[in-house]
Amino acid sequence: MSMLEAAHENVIELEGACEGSLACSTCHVRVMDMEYYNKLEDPVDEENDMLDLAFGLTETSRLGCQIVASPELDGICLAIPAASRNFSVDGPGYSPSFQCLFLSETAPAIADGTMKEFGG
Amino acid sequence: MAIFRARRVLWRSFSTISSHPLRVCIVGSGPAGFYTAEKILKTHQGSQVDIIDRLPTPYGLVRSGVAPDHPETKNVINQFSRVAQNGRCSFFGNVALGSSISLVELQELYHVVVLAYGAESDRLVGIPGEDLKGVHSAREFVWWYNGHPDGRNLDPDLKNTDTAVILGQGNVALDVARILLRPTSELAITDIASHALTALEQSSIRKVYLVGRRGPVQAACTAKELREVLGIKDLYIHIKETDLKITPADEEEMKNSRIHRRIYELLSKAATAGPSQPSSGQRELHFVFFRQPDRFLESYDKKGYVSGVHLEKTGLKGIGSGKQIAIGTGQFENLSCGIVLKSIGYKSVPVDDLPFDNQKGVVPNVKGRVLSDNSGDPTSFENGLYVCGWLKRGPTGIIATNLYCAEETVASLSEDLELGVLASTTRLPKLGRDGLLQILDNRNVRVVPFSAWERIDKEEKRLGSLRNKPREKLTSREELLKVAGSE
Repeated sequence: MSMLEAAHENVIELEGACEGSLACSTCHVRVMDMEYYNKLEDPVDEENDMLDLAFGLTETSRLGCQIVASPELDGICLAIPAASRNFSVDGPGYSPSFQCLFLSETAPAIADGTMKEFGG
Repeated sequence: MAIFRARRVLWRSFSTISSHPLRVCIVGSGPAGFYTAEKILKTHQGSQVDIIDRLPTPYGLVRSGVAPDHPETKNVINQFSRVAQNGRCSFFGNVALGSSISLVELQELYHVVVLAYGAESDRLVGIPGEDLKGVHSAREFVWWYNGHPDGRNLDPDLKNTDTAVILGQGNVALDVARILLRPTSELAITDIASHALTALEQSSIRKVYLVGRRGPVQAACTAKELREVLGIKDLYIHIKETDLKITPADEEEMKNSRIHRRIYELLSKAATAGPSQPSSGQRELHFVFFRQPDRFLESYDKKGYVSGVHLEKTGLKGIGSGKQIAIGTGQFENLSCGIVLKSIGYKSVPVDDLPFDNQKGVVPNVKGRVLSDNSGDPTSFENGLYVCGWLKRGPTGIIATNLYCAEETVASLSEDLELGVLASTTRLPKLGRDGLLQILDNRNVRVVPFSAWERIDKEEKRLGSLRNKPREKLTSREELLKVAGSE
């Protein structure tokens, strides 16, 4: 099960316009811990192409539909962009605020997380 | 730092104003319209949202813009479908702002009107010969192969020439190039309009030129589309190696943009990857950089028809903040062709009683709140009138861009409701849906509700299954209304 599917099963609002077919970037998530980011398999070209278009891209950004739950990802924290009112149509002003999800025990059960503000 | 449950907090305080529901009309059923509807329905629990569209079919450019060989990009239709099926939402097709119902009438029927009708016209190049036969806008060409009712009579001549010139190097330009160059056997199993498939099967076009004013670092396309066009089977790709030389200014641009860096890398690789000459009979795709069109050339033999483009070589000039523009150098050359597709940008169309910025081609607004006029006075807003999507931002971005655009517009709307800015309208009940349908009925407008679209959808899929296509689009209004109306 991918993180996108897990989010939907747990009524977490993570957009998935193309339904996991690598044709959009709406399920963009940030892996909060570099250690966990490194556990993931490198993104293929097609995922990188979509990440090019993601808002608020970071060094540890991935598409939620491409992260597959596994025991070794237990405890991974993913930040989901909650579109904020600071959205600037001119681009560089966009400051997404993020909601953090923690995966508990055997993923993909998602526990409550901490709301943090991340600068753009 | 606050702790929140990982669930939505719903804004309930002003979704039911007094005792009557908030009635919203959204004009346009593309991504901007549907993301706006979805957001309003979620944020304002008592609201009733009606979406109107001038076409009998919903979904805007998802149906008529996304290329036929990009079916996954259209998956978002499933999400929009669920929005339309929400009990508090109604879709009404074949209802045109202006001719079926006026903006003023909508403002009388609804507390809030959101305009999301996009950009259905074109930026003009503005050079001599633009009216010659064989010069088309990419928008019309895309409508044509996607079966848009207003595009079916385009009848582009693909048989008089072996060369097509496309002005522009954005994703629409690449889509057009790909549709012209892909083996038609691959297109035959997509939802491409049949009249276009037939024309492409008979097409004599073997060479396509993608012409950009600036260099490979400034190309407006994105990686997925570029990768795809470079990967077309048995296609000779030509990129001049001298065009790939980069300046410090180019390096700076690439440093700040991952997209441009990756595009440049893809183009560099493609320039040296293949053979230096096409093999006999092989189709060709040429990337032409640093050329801007000066005028379209008229054929000697066929008066009134285009026979080529007179191009001026350009250089780049920095204009501050890392941006570089193209400047003519006074050196010219000709590029012969029998068809030109202009892919330099869409443009919105103004309607009566609506302030419009002709220069930018958008409705003047601040975060989606429509301004009363173009004066730039930021305090004078049109009460209860909002805008979203290309009509608000200009014709740029992807489907997902509208997600954030809708967030912003609905946030403005919600703020206005909370602060009582709309109190003069919201304290009164509005007729909304019932009022709209009554007026349309009096005018004999054949409204196509969502259930009728579902009939069209079912029929298109059925017809498609007979030809190994996901659907066979009905491309005339008459056919669409007939199927919509049948039980």
